[in-house]
Amino acid sequence: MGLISINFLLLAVITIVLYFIIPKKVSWVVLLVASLIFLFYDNFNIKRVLEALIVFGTSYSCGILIDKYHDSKKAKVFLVLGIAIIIGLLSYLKYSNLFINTVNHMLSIINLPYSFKLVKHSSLIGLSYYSLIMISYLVDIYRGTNKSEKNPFKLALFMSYFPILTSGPFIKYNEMKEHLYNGHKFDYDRMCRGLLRIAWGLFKILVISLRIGIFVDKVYGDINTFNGVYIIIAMLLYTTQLYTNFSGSIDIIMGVSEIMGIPLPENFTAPFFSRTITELWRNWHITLGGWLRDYIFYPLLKSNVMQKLNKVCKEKFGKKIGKKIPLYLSMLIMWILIGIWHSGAYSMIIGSGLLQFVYMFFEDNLSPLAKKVNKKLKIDSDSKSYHIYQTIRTYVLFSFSMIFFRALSVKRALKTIKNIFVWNPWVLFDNKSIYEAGLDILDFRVLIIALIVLFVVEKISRKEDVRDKLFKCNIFLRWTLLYALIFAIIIFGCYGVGYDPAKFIYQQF
Amino acid sequence: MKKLLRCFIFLTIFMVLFVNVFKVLWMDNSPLSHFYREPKNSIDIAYIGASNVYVHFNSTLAFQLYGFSTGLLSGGSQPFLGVKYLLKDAKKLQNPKLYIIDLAKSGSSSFSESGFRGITDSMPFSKNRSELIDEGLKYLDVKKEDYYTYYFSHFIYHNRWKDLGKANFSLEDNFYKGFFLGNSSVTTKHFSSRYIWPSKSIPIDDKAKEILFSLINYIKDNNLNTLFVIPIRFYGNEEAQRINTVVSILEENNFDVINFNKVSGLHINFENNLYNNDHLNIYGSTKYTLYFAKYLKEHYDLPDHRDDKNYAS
Repeated sequence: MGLISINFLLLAVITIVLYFIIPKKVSWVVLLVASLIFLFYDNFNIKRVLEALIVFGTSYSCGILIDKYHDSKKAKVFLVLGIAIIIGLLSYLKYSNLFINTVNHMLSIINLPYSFKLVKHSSLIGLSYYSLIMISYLVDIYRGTNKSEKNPFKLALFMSYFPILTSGPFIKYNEMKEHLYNGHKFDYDRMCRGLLRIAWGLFKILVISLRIGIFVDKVYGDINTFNGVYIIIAMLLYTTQLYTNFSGSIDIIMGVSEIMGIPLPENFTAPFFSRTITELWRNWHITLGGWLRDYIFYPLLKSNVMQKLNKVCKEKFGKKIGKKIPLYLSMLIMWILIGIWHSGAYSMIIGSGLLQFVYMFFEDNLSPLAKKVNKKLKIDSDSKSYHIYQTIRTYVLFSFSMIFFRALSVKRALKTIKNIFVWNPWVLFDNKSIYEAGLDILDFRVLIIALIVLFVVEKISRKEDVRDKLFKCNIFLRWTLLYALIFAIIIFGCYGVGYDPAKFIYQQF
Repeated sequence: MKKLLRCFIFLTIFMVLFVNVFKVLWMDNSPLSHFYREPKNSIDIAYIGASNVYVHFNSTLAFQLYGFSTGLLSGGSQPFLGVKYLLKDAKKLQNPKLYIIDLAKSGSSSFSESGFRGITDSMPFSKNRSELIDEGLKYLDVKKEDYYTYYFSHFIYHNRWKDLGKANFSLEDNFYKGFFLGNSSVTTKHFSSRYIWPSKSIPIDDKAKEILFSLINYIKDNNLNTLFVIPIRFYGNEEAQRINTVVSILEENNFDVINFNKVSGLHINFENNLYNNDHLNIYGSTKYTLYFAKYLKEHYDLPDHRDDKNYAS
């Protein structure tokens, strides 16, 4: 069930109406039923039910047992067991082919005439999301941050809360339980805010993302014809496509949830104003970053192995360099895991994992050198122009890494990079060629205006809540802006026959 | 209460804006749209059919001559399947004294998407429209996921923003009470003699039969005063032979049918009075209207509204 579909609209509307009609005490049951409908709507069969039941059953029983044996070693056993089952299932269903490909590749390197067949698995929508959510649930019980949920139906709701199943954000049990299980009264202002957020999400997806997608798909679909400048433009636009698509779907999800009075954690805070890749990742897919930091990076860094490594490295390379080695190693592992989580393809591991690590590594280590160079060249690194340069540099570097993300295979990504170096700048000036890649001049005009609107809104959002600002405006300005937003979506949105609004890039993960 | 009122005003303004924006995007100047713009119960004759109707019958001329008003429920390549549903709308909105049904498309159940959309996109939202769409989608090769675009044509026409021109912001067009004056003065000199109507018949397909009988039953059930006509033009041989079968069925059911291809009093000159195979030009349509309007006045009890202020324009 796509987020932009009649079915989702119906489900959301019916759920919201019933949620407020039914007594507050049991209104969470409506959410549970809606979530189960959403979960199994496109994919109801015994295998899918079993998958969900394994994750749920493991989380429920291990959660209670960890809680019960909290002060004994058994708690750790049940934690490890729970995580192993969930990760095992997730790996089997989503990452088997990564493993098989790696083994086959190794076998071919040592010239062994064996290869394993790739497997075909389809998994339930949201598996990657709810698996990690349930791992955090178990770890938090083990850490004593929260107690286990005794009511299996309530835990089932936490695991399957329908708005977050397609694209996140990642939620934590102790932050969500009050909001999920205690009903809320209908609030008109909250509904308006939620609807506005949904409309903004639709604008991002239908007017910007899907429009860019036409150009990007055409260029990446035929990189031999559309090379050079075409690829550079597609590369730069794809990052915005990805962002508007992902953050737009998060806006819809958060809007629906907000109407019911259930706040979700923010997943983006204007990432493309960031001046470094490190800063960008603090503002991009925030909840995934937070999850990995809390449940992978810090535990890894504090693990006995890393502490020992820290000691050894300090002795061998000195305090300054020695302490950085375990840090970078933990970072590297975390970034590889981010890459794997994004589908398990090598190109993803490079694009959304390794390259990001490389960028951060160099950012960290080259910044003293950059400061010296700036001083020598008398460049004011606090100036506005320098900040703009840094912002553009970060965007371009991130966009470059996204070539691997978009190309879907390393071979194709490398070919795409090679084809960037074809010299054809005239396609920008002959007033014809650039319009052969799917978007005509009118589409480009709409896109440019929409991107300016996005830029302005994102810029404002760094200082204050845009919706607060809008609702403070006088009624004429406010309604004019609202109608402009709604009609921009209705008229300029890419939907209807020939478009695929259900094409959410992040849904595949 | 204040908030509720504000919400209501917001939605009302939205609807007004939406309807008007949509009007510009889907500049509904189809001949059929003219019928739906007529005041209630102001039409004496509902004339239903494909392009032959709006190109051949000059309803304004007929009014000037005899004073009866004719609504043309017509569209390019309009499928015969739509006739029953247009009859229903005509009955509901106008309750005319006579229904004239053009048989040019009656011999086959196949039709084009554009012909079908020509009806559904011009019809206002109603149960009848929904039923027509349900029925039509059984015949068209349309992906299930695109069905909704028939019920909500906005999903198709919102993309027309790229094609908007000055004409889209005006209601002026080439239709006069549904009658088309566009290419009517063009003369095709390809034809030296008139089309000779065949005497043979060949069967029509089962679906076409089903559509025809459904129409017959509806007319009988509602006791509608109906006249069937076959427009004068060129036909494919099999096309005409299939229409012969339709005529036999209609005559068996005691309906009146006029085949204008066999009417000598029309004086249509095929060398000068057609602008293509299927349509008369302005000279041909004037001859046709003069003849047919007189026939209608003589054979049916039709009122004369020429002195009625409500009909003055």
